[in-house]
Amino acid sequence: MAGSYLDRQLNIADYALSGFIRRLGRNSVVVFIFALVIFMVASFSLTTTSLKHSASRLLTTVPDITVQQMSAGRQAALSVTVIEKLDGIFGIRSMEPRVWGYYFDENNGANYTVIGHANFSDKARIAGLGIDFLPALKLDADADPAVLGRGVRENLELGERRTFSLFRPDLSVQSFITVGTFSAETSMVTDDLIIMDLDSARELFGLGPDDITDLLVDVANPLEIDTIADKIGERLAGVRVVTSERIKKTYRVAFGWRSGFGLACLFGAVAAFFIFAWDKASGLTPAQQQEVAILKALGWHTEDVITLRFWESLIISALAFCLGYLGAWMHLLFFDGILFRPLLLGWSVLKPPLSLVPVFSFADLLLIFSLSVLPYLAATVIPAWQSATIRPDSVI
Amino acid sequence: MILESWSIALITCSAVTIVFGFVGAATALRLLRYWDLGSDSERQIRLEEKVWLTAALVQFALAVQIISAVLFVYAADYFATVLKGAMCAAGSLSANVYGLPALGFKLATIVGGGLWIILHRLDIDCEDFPYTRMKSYWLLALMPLLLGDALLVLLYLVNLEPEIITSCCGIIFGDQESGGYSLFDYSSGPTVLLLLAATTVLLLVGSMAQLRSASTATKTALLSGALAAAWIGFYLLALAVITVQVSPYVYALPHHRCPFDLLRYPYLAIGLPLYLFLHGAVLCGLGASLAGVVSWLKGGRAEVKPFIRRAALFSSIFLLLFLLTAAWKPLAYVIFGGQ
Repeated sequence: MAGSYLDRQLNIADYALSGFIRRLGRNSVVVFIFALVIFMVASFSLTTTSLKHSASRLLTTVPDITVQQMSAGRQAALSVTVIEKLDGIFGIRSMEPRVWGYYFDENNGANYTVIGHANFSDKARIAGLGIDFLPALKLDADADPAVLGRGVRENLELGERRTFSLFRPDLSVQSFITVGTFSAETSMVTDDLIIMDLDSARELFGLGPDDITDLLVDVANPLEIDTIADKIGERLAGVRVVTSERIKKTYRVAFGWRSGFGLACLFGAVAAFFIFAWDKASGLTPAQQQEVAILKALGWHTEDVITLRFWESLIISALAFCLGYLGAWMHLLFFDGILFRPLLLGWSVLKPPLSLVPVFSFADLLLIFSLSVLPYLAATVIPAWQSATIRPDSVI
Repeated sequence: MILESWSIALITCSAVTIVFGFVGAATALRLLRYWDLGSDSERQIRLEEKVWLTAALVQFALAVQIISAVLFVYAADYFATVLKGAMCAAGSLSANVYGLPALGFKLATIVGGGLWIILHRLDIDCEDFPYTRMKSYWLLALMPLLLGDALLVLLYLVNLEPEIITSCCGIIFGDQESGGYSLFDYSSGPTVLLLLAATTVLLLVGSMAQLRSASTATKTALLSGALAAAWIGFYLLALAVITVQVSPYVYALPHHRCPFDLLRYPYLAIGLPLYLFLHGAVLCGLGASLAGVVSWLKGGRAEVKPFIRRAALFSSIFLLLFLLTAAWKPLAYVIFGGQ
């Protein structure tokens, strides 16, 4: 019984395929437009997954807990003396003060992220950030060493030069010398970044000698992160305690939300296509009507004709899906998702030249399928029935 | 989290099933009002054609519901990466009161839709379409389930916030003594296993009786009714046993109990056949029972007997395969020891 059912389906599929080839020109138009719709949906989905993977890979270097002082609901400077207050908490492996700020470059309207690192001189400690160190120079006592992101180097038009200057708040000039550049793989987070010594950063932003913006806490046992974060919150008044897991989740939420928003914006185009598909499936040509009439006169049942129409839609969907998905994959692999990246990554003067790598996942495939193929097949069900109920005597 | 891609996909699936459900229900109402097989009026001919429309719509809606159920579990798995405390679909689905009921409604619509298709097959196999009215009532009864499913999914997604603190499966299904909520009472673990074994034996004996085909329609209907109840009981017991007794052996972790992680790589190798065999067995078993009952309601029709025998055979095969898959890892542990 199962054999005869399969034979019947295969025969109908065979007939549907020959019909598809007979009307190749007309069907190609539908396949092309449908492939375009799938390309858009798949591009969004693949770019989001790829960004999430890149972000989670990079965020492995984020400290377990970040402590910031809040005042009147805004971030304020924290005194480095808080380290002594937290010293007694069991489970903390290390604490590092940091200055984190944004420097606005009036020459080109770009914002640089400046990080003052306490262990800046210790290359081994910041090796995880992927820095290509330049050959050592005899440092000028007036120029502070700094590591630059590739975007900053280009924006400052440094070329082969290694020294540059930035303005302090009182408009006096502070000189820096480039000792290294961030590698291209980390450009999503390092493109607009300048890392320097803690004291240099304090001086650049005009902070006091004990002031820092955040305290980075490293915890020995990952299972204790939440407990230690709670203890820090209890010991220091008015601080914000952020764990690495929260940062990762925030990234995922941001990418997920932007991807969904983008898809919602595409909804109009997608809906227009499904109306087109419905319309195309409903409006049978006289030749198609005659074909159905002949099939029914030959003994085909209404159900057989519905099955035939279903197979036709399935062939179109499968072809369009392969083309659209392949196109999205190539768009991401060879063109770095250029069409949709601004929406997902955000806009800024310094756009991260990120190289995205497509990531295959069954869940993504299912998501793209249910957002494109499923509505298309649904749009053709009622027209399929309408075409199957043509009476032979009314056409032949 | 209504603006997530997963949410949009789930809402699209719900919209398709609701639209198809309404078109099908409108046809069902017309069929109930005007169906007259003896008439050869234009309206009756149109109604006979509409039977095929309803069948196409229900079959497609069922396929969408199955995809939507898989999508729902995958979406919940994804939401676990953004919800505080959740580690898999179990945590995300219990993040608000709508998650687990939504999944339950989805499964109920899949079983309901599957049984409708079985009834439709039985109907078109007979020359006089004896079950057309019954099919229409069945479809109308499915509508509240479909609407409930769509509403619960929507409420679940609207009320899902990244700031919600939820629990992981280790807590939800964990032992009370170890600080878990204990959705199941573990002291009754052996009792549940014993109950499952007893139900399995009853079902196998019942299916054998269906294979032999009872002498009268009333006996067939009585047997079918009893077996339908037993299949529902078996399904619920099987889910409990999978969660409490089987899953820790699959994960090779004594305190990790979760029915959803079984659908994740690498546990999928056991989880997928386990759930496919379970649902296949229950659907075939319920289908055989349904055929027995509806044939009795129509005065004992002989056409259903081959179907009952076939469905009973398939349900028994699936049941045995399910038991084999479920026992595989625990037995391997007993015979070959731990990893």
